[in-house]
Amino acid sequence: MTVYDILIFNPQGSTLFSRSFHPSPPPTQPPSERQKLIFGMLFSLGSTLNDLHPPSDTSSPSPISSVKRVCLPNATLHAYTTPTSLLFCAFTSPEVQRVRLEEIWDVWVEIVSMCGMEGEVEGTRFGERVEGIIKTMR
Amino acid sequence: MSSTSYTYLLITSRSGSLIYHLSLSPPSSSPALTTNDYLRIGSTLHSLKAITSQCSPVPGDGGMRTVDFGEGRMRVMQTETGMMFVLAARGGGAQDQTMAHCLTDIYAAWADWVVKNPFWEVDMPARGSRFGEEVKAICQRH
Repeated sequence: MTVYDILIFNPQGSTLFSRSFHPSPPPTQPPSERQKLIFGMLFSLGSTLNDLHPPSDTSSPSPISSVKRVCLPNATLHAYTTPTSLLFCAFTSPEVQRVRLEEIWDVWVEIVSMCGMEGEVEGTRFGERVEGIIKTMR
Repeated sequence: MSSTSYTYLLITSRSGSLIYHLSLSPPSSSPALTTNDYLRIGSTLHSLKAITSQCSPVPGDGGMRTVDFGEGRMRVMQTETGMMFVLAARGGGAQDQTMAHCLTDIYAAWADWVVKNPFWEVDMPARGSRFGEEVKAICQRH
């Protein structure tokens, strides 16, 4: 199992956290552009799917929340939308069926939300805990 | 008899324009989509296939193949000629391989009932009920 990226977005699409574990060569796009593309892609995909299959649970306002997984030939994007509309994403190798993004959300609540931190959380203990979780997944 | 509840079939041309759409679920259980809605959805899915390819961490990766969403699953098949076949299913019983085989059979039916129609031209919207009946029969079998 290979984990390529962990990304966390707020409901407006800003990147709150990102970690990349790319084997060489890394993607050629600048990281910020790629992150915007990923969020926009998930938003459009979720909106389109909601048009075709209106969700039975109307309490969730974000279209992204309907998308769970996008499988490509050589990678899989897993998505988890929290009840507070934060979006947790992980790019993995294609054989991975499920990633425990809820576990990373638990760590987020413990370290970021409970401490009242706002904005990006790079360079904090949250990043170390996420890397620890990723190592146990491999 | 199929245990999968298929909902939509969409087919786009090489340029991304929608050339065929079919609702496979009863009208009472599907939203009322207009022709313009289908056109918009078809072109959006075509663009998203290209965008997902750019998002991939693996250089040169293909675009989206399967999308799992809250209500079910969507399977995408791109042909060697650049057309895109999109099949959506609702419920947890939709297996990826089953949907892939279903799309392959639908592509064969497209070749038989649309391409071989002497009045049809490449990239032209397809009309006619015979292909639609064949699609429904294929979905029943898978």
